[in-house]
Amino acid sequence: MWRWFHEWGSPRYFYARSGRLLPYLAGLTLLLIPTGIVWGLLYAPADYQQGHSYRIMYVHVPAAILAQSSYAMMAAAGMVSLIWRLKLADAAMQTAAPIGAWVTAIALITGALWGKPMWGTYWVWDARLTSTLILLFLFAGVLALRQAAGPSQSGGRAAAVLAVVGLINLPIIKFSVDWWFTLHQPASFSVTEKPAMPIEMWAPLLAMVIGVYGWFFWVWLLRLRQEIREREVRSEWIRQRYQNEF
Amino acid sequence: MGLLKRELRLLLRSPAEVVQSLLFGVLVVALFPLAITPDPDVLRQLSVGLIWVVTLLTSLLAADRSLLSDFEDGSLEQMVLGVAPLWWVCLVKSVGHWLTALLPLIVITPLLGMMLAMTSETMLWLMASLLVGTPVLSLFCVLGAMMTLGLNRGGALLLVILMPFLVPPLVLGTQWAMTLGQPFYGYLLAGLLCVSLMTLPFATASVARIAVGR
Amino acid sequence: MSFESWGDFVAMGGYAAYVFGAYGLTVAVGVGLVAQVWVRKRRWEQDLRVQLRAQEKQP
Repeated sequence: MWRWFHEWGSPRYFYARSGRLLPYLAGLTLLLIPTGIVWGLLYAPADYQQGHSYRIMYVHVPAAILAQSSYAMMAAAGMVSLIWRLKLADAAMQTAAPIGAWVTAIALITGALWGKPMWGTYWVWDARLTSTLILLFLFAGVLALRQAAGPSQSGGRAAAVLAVVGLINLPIIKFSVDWWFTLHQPASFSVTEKPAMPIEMWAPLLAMVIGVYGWFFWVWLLRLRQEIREREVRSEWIRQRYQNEF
Repeated sequence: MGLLKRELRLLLRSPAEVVQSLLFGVLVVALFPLAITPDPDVLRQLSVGLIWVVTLLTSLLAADRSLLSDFEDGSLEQMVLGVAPLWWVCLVKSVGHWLTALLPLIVITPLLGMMLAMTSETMLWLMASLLVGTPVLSLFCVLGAMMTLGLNRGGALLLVILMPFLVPPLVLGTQWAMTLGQPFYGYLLAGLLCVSLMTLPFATASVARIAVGR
Repeated sequence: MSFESWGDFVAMGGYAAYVFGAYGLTVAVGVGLVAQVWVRKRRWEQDLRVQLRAQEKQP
């Protein structure tokens, strides 16, 4: 177990091994997402209440799910880099942050585009919307601190502490936002559970959810490998790798 | 204990910081009636939230200053290397921040409340919610200040970093005051304070080691 | 197929701007993030190539 951990913690070993995963992740993404989009846009039946506007769900829901778990993954990488001081984990955290921030922004914007035809307004201070907005601010904080602190490893550690404190705070934030909302809830609309979806509707959703996870890991790995290349540019192994290629 | 005394002595020697937060609070609150409406009914409705937001901003404003002099004259480095446990140093720093920036503002809350036409009952609950809630703000502000120490970015960066963490005390505090002391929110706010007191000094301490190494 | 014709599909039941806007934005960001790494990698490889050539010339 420990040997495995040490091996994977070394950038060189990780770089050599992770390259083999790339085609699988790319394949999964390029297979599932186009399938999900075509299926969701063209073949899934229209909703009896919302008509065709509900098709936004197939991009909104996967983005919203991914937004939360990408924060958790980023903070987990931060925790590893704090405890074991792995350079690789620091790079993983730094590369996950911008992707997660983009995904959260997408979840918010597609949600607004869905809200306009559904509720007649782009934005309402609904509990879920508000906590997603705060999640975006959390990402922004980690990104801003990482940027301001520069490329040094100490800057990475401060950002890692911020990410971990944020992860611990996330349930508290969600909880307080929920209570704040229940007190202010207007009666005019509700986003409570809809009746169960038929299989023709949720099958494309499932394809999209798995697809965006594949996409996330794919982009993350691409960025992480680029980050490793840039950080290790002075070391022998990466130069040799490229000397043979050129 | 020596640390706490030192901190207090430093505070007493420089009342300018206290005056600055007081002035900031009064002046910002005075802007609201001018910007929104002098109508006491509207102001009364907004008062709790406005005063909480002003307090939060005052807290952020003072956060930058809370560690800067210690960082510049090297006493922070000595504290990191010193005998006193670092979490205790960080806790003392938070107490200092609270005493200079927030306690004075809580003391003059009745004045701010009068400016916004608050009823005396709401005002009492607002002061209670500020007393329990603002220490959480101080703990987070010192953590944020420690993270941005020596980065020369100051204010805006601190706001971006800290905003999500200041949401729970803000929400629970304002709800507690506006529901006139519904115990549920009081317990939650007190619980938040306890958890923050027990964990945040340690987080700040771990960042302090990084900041000094920078 | 849940649409009668291409015209129906493009109209999206009157919600075309919202639906295609949401999909377009998502796809743009998804492709953009991949493309960004790719461009960064190409630039970096070019820099490295120049460096390695310079090294070979002065052994």
